[in-house]
Amino acid sequence: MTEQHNGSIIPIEIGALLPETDALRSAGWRLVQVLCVGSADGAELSYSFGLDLEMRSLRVTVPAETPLPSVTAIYPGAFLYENEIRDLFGVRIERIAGDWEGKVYDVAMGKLFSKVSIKAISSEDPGAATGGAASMGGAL
Amino acid sequence: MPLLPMSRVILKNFFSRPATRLYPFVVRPAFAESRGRIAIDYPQCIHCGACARRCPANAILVGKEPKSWRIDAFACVTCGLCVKVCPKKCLRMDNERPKSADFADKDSRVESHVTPPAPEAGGPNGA
Amino acid sequence: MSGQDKRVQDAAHAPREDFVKGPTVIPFGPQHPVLPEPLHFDLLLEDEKVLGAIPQIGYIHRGLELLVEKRDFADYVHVAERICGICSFMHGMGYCEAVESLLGLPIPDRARYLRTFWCELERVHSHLLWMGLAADALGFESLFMAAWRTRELVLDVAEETAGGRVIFGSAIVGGVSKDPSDETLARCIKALALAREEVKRLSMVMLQNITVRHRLEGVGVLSADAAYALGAVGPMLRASGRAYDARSLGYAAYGEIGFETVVETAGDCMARAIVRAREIEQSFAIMDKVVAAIPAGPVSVPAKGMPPKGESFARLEQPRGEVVYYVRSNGTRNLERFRVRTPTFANVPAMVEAMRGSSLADVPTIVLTIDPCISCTER
Repeated sequence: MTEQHNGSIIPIEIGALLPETDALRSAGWRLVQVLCVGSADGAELSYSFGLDLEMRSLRVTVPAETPLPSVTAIYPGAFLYENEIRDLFGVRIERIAGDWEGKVYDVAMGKLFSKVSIKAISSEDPGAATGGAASMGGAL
Repeated sequence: MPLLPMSRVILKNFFSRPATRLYPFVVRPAFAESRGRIAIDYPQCIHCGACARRCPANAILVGKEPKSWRIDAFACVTCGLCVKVCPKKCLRMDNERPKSADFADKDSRVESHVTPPAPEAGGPNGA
Repeated sequence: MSGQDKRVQDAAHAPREDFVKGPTVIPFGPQHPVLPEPLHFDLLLEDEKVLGAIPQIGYIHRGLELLVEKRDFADYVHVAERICGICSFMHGMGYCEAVESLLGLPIPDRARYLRTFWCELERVHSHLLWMGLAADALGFESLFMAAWRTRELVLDVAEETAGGRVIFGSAIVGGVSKDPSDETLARCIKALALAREEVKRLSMVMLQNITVRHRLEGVGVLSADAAYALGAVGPMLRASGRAYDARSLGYAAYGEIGFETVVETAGDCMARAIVRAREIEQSFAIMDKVVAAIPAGPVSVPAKGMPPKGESFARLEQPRGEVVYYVRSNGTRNLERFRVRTPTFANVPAMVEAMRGSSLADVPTIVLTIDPCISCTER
């Protein structure tokens, strides 16, 4: 049963994301979710697709500051996920159809969930880790 | 007949007692399993602080000097974790909810027990 | 397909003087009589007709997902449960299912049956809450009161068995924390039979009343293909004719108890109301079956040790649709990542699509038949 819940996770390159997604869409899969896990040197995105009870995830590892194409041209419903991931993790997702320009979570301290920015700031100036809200507001 | 079922409800409402109780004069007795409030048997407390560390709402404050135990009833979410982790089993879950009138002034929502630092002191000193 | 429409995009960012020529922009929410929770739309209108809508969330983001890094994995279930006040039990349970599959921890049979019971109890009270709110939005005050009065019977059963009215608090990693006796369960089934009769009558009123039907039929039509392509889930998808229900995965005791997927084909607001009304009826039947078949035995196993390095998904069917939980562990007591993809999050694009072409007065009805839960959406 665990197997069924987890589905299969397929690691792919950034360049293969759009062709693979397009192939799944043509085969009748629906977009279940886009998941992002932050890490010290970037982020890892998993695009999960479902067909009946089956689930399959495409996993892309994105180094910090690397642009990632948006899948909204294939799955228009993905705009909410992508906007959220860009605001919380600072992943540079480009050409989102329905771009909110960083206003999903419009807070003074952007990229709240990103592990990259916190690490970068604390290594530059350890004293500013708590008072550095203004310098962290990169997503605004 | 789409009109009929609702007319039956309306007629029933006319001739039956109100669905609500005249709170606070009539109170429904609490169920045995209800999570009402956290209560402490303070003399048993050893001030280990396990409850305060595990509390997801940071509602409990355990002081070492002087020895004290405080709970903020507004912050407490009655999850019951403190009851589960208490090594002396002196915390328990009461099934009666506190009445909101008990918290009329700001200080009364914090239940506080302090052990006076005097050597002969042993009993609780409810504030 | 929000935002895909070039015209809608342009209008949203047009300079002020262009508004005279272009479509009118009407802000809808976050404070609105029909909205129990904050959700905002910029509605683009041409006369009374909605050309498109730009949704906006972000008013109640609490960052609960990040809190998993600070809390012990077994304690976090209490935080997960408080993501939302209506689907609370299933949030806690979904987290537990994900962590249990990470730990490789099978839970006792009685716990699986009790979880099923509480899931269905929650579905009934959530759908009754929706029925009341929808009736209220239509101006049907007496149905609103009647639905919520019936909901009280269900909430009492919840408190008697689980200990809480809306935050059940009974799911823990490794099983459940409460074990209602057979007498309690029998008494609850009796109380639920009373509620069932009442709900039957209320559903009939809701679905056959001529005014309600005028407001709901043919409004906010969402085709099966559009719903599927936009990733809609739950009653939203099933009302459009796609039979997908995550309970078919057979988690908890659904594999043994069995259930029937409720499907309607019209795709309008009425179809969504019918799906929910039929689901309440079915939930009562499932609860009866669960109590009749519940095995005796322990209700929890201790969750010992650290969760191993790894990741796990769990999929459940909440009242609003399929929900996806994800946990990742780095081998310590604090998990590295917890994520919930809630049903309303997946339903927002479909909701915008359903609004397109409707009239302004129908927008509240369409929003309510999606049954949005913004606390879930933003976490």
